[in-house]
Amino acid sequence: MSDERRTPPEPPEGLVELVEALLLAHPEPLSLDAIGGMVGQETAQALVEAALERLAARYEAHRFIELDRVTREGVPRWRLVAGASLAPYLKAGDPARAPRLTRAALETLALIAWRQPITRGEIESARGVAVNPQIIKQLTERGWIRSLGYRDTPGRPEMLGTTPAFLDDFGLDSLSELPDFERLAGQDDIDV
Amino acid sequence: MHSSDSHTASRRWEETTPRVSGQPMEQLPLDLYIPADALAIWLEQFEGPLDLLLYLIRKHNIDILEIPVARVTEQYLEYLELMKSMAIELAAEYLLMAAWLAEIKSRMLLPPEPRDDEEEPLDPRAELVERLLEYERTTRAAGWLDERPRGERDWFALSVDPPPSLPAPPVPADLDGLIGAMKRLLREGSVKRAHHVRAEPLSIRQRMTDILDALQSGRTRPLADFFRPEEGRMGIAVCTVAILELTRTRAIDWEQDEPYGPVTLYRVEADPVDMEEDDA
Repeated sequence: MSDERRTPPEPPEGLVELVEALLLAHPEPLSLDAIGGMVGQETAQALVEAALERLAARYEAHRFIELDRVTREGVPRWRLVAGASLAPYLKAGDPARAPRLTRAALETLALIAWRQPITRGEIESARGVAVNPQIIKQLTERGWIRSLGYRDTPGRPEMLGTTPAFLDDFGLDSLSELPDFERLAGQDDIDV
Repeated sequence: MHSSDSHTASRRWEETTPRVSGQPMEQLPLDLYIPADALAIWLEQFEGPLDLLLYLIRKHNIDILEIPVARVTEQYLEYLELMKSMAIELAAEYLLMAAWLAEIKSRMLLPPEPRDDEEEPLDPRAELVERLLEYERTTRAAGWLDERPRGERDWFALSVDPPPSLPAPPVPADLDGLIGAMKRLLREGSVKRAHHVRAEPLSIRQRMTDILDALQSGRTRPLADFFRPEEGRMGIAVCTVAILELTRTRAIDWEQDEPYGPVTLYRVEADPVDMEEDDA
């Protein structure tokens, strides 16, 4: 990660634990600046970085928890997450947890993500079947899609789009990180 | 997998396949020999006529641009019969597709309309191919989403809520420091926005969503608000395309009191009074 030529500064007593606690106490990932603003201006940014590195090393030994680095609004941020290895245990405690997405739900979500603002009619035409209202409800309840208003065409269809929670849950910084839709068709189909 | 190969392969297939009562005797779906219950479940999992059709095309390695409509239609109807016999309730869309396939099939039998020198006659299959490709892209997009590590499935954000009754935890932070960090964050945010703008359609989609957000609940906003000088020419282009696209699809509208006067944008459903003076 950091330059090996110069040894990272030694974080002062307690800073690693403080940063860890701050990450835990905040529901959102924190940037260096945000952490710096909380631990106090007199703490150099290099020390906060060093503390994060220590924390990452400490959690490397942990089978279930890791220090996760994400990019939001182009700024790197950190948070503590439990990895997929925890999922079976959580599921054992609560079988209804995060129900599996059906293919229909995934395809609907994909069309809303790539083609927003999109109407139900446009989703139906792309998938060739009627939109199941339960799917729209499920995706709305998961906080991934939302209404963007209505189009002034006959029937006043509702326009759907994705939410910031969708980007967050799928690990995207912005919609521009989605791959180009037109290139998703089989390569062997368009090389004529 | 090259289209030219599969193309010739499918031609050869058509020439050499024995026919039984006029129908090509293809290798029957192996799935036919699985237990009836399992077959019913398997048949039910098709997401609709496009999915079934795409399955048939992929299964027989057919070049999607050269679909042998007669053959595919036969197979499609075979599957419909199978589904009916298993008492699977068929959605109307399946029958609609059958009718469409029959129509394409009959139009294929007619001689193509006299072609101009340059232009190729319109292939009756063109729209079907486009729908199939679009659906295939959708399934791949869905697969792409599904493979991403997903919150609440593959990772779980950890956070500890301090008990509400306790005072705020004693974090050694001074107000000035917090305000300073906040200001920097805000400043950072406004600068970084420029990085969102790229010459690809998705950032236009993003901008369309942003514009709809800004015009929420009856708000009107001057056009100038939407252009951010710091985004440069590309930003202006993206913004213009987004506004034009939203206008074209009648999601938003605008008004201008005098030539060269300020332009105001509003969401169409937000302002029903203005809809009458739609005399453009």
